[in-house]
Amino acid sequence: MNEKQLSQIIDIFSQVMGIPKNMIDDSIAYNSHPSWDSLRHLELASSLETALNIEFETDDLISMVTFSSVKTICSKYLE
Amino acid sequence: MNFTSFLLSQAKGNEKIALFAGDHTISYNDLHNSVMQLASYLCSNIVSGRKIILLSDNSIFFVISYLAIIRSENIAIPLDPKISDTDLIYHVQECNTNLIFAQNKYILKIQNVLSNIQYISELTYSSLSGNKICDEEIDDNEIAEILFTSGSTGKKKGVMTTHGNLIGSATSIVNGLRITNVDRICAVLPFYYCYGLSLIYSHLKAGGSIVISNHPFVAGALNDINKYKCTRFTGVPSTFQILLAKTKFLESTFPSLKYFTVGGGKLPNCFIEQIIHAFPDITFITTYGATETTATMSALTETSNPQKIGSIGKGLPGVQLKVIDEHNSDIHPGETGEIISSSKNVMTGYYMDPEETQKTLKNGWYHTGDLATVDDEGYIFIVGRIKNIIKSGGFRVSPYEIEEEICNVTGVEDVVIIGQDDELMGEAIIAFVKSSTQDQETLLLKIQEYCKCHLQTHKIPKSIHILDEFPLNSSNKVDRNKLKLMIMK
Repeated sequence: MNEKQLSQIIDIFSQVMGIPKNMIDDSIAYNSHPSWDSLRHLELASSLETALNIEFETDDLISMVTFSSVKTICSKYLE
Repeated sequence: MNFTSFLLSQAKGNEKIALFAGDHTISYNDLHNSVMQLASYLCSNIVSGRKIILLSDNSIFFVISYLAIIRSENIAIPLDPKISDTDLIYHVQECNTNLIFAQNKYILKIQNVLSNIQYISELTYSSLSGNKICDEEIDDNEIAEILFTSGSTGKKKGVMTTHGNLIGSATSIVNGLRITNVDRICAVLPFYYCYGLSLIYSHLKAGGSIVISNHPFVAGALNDINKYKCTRFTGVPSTFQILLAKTKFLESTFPSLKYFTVGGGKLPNCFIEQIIHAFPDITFITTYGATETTATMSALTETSNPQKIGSIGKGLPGVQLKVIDEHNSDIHPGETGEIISSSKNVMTGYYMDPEETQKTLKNGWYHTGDLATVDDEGYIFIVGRIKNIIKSGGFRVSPYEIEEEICNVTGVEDVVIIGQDDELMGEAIIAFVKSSTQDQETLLLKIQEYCKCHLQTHKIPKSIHILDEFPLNSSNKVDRNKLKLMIMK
C-alpha cells in the first residue's frame, strides 16, 4: 500500500466516522469508539471499495474492528 | 410482583449460563446475586420511584443494571447510547433525573454536556452494595421502565411500561413463540428498545440463554450462531436484508438453529420465501409489535402455508387483536381497517402527555395506526399506516424530527423528508431541501456534515435533493407524492 492509498483510507475513515484526521490512530476500535456503529461500518466498507476499486469478502467485513485492521485488510487487496 | 423477581424466580442456585458475551459468561446464580447486590445498593441509597437513565451497548452490564434498577422499584430509561447531545440533555431534563448508568466509553459524553449528574460506570457498579432490599411484592401498575419512541408529530413520546405489562409480555412471548429452557438466542438487536429487551426477558423467563453478539457487521452473528450452538436468531427486516445482499447467508448452514424471527417492520415476501426455501428445517416466524404494547403482539408461525406469507399472524396468547373500520366495527375479510390491541401488555400511557395518551388508548384498546386487512381464517395482513412514520432499520422515525434538524442549516428554507423502499434499511430516509442558493454543492456538504453530528445514523438521509421550489398540490401543500415520483424516475 502506498502513501496515497493510506491517505485515502484515512480520509474516508475520518469522513465516515466523523473523527478528525489528526485524531485517528491504530487503536480506534468498534467496541470503544462511540461513533462506529453497524450502519457506518457498511458505509465505510462501501466507500473504501469504491475509492480503492476493491471488493471485500464477508470475513473481511467481520474482521474490520479497529483502524489498524481496516488498513491491514485493505493492504491485502492493494499489493 | 416485581418484574425482576418474576424473571429471576428460578435463578438462585442455578449454575446454568444465562448470558454469553465474548469471553465473559454469567450463570443464572451469579446474575441473580449481582442484580440483588446492585439493587440493594439502590434500595439503601436512593428513594424508590426515581428515573434512572441507562446508556450502554448490549452487554452484561446493561442486563444487570436494567434488572437492578427495576428490582429496586426505580424506573429504568434505556437510551440509545449514540444519542445526540441535545437529545440526552432533553431526556435528562424531561425525566428530571440525576443518575445515569453508563459504560465507560459514554462517560465523556455525559461529562461534556451535563453538570450535576451522578453516574455509575461499568468499572464501579460491581463493587456497590447496600444493606436493605425492597419488597418483591409491588403493585402491577407501578412503572418499571420508560422507553422513548418517535411520535408522528416529531415529538418524542415516553412509553410508560409497568411491572404488570412486562410480566404479561414475557408470558405471552414465551408461550406464543414456545421458548423453552433449551433455547439459546443469538441477540443482535439493541437492548435499549422494546424488541431487543424482549429477547432478554423472554429467554431469562424461559430459563434459556442469551448470546450477546456485538459485531460491527451483522454477519459476525452468523459465526456466533454456530460457535454457541444457538437455536434462535431474531432480527429486524434490515438485519435479514443486509445478510441477503452482502453475504453468502443463503449458502450457510446452521445445524443448531430452529427458528428465524423477524419483527419491527415488514420484510418483503420475496426475501422471506428465499430464506424459507434455503432453510427448510428452520421455522421462519414473523412477529408484530409496538413499544406501546411492551413488545410483541402477534406472530405468524405457520410458514408452511405459502398463502400466509406476509401476514403478521394472530394475537399471541393473552393478546386480543382486532381490525376495525371508522365506526369501530370489526371489518370483514378483504376490507381495510386499523389494528387495535387489548391485553395486559398495553402501556399505561405516554409520560407527561395525557393528550396523546387519550388519542391512542381508547376504552382499554391501543390504536396502532397500522392499516390492515384480514383473511377468512382471521390472519392479519398489514397494508399501510395512518400515521406519517418511517421505519428505518427497524426503528420508528418521524419525518418531522429530521426536518426540524435540517432546517437549522443556514441556507435551508424548507425540508421534506420521505421514506423510500430500500433493500438494506427497509425504508431509507430521503431529504428534499428547498433553497435558493447558487452553490448547491457546498450546501449539500454542510447538510451532510450537520446530519452526521446531530442525528443518529439510522436517521441520516441516504440522499439529499436540493430544489428551488417544492411541487404543491391543490391545497397548496407540498405534494409528497410528486416528490416520491421524482426519486422513482
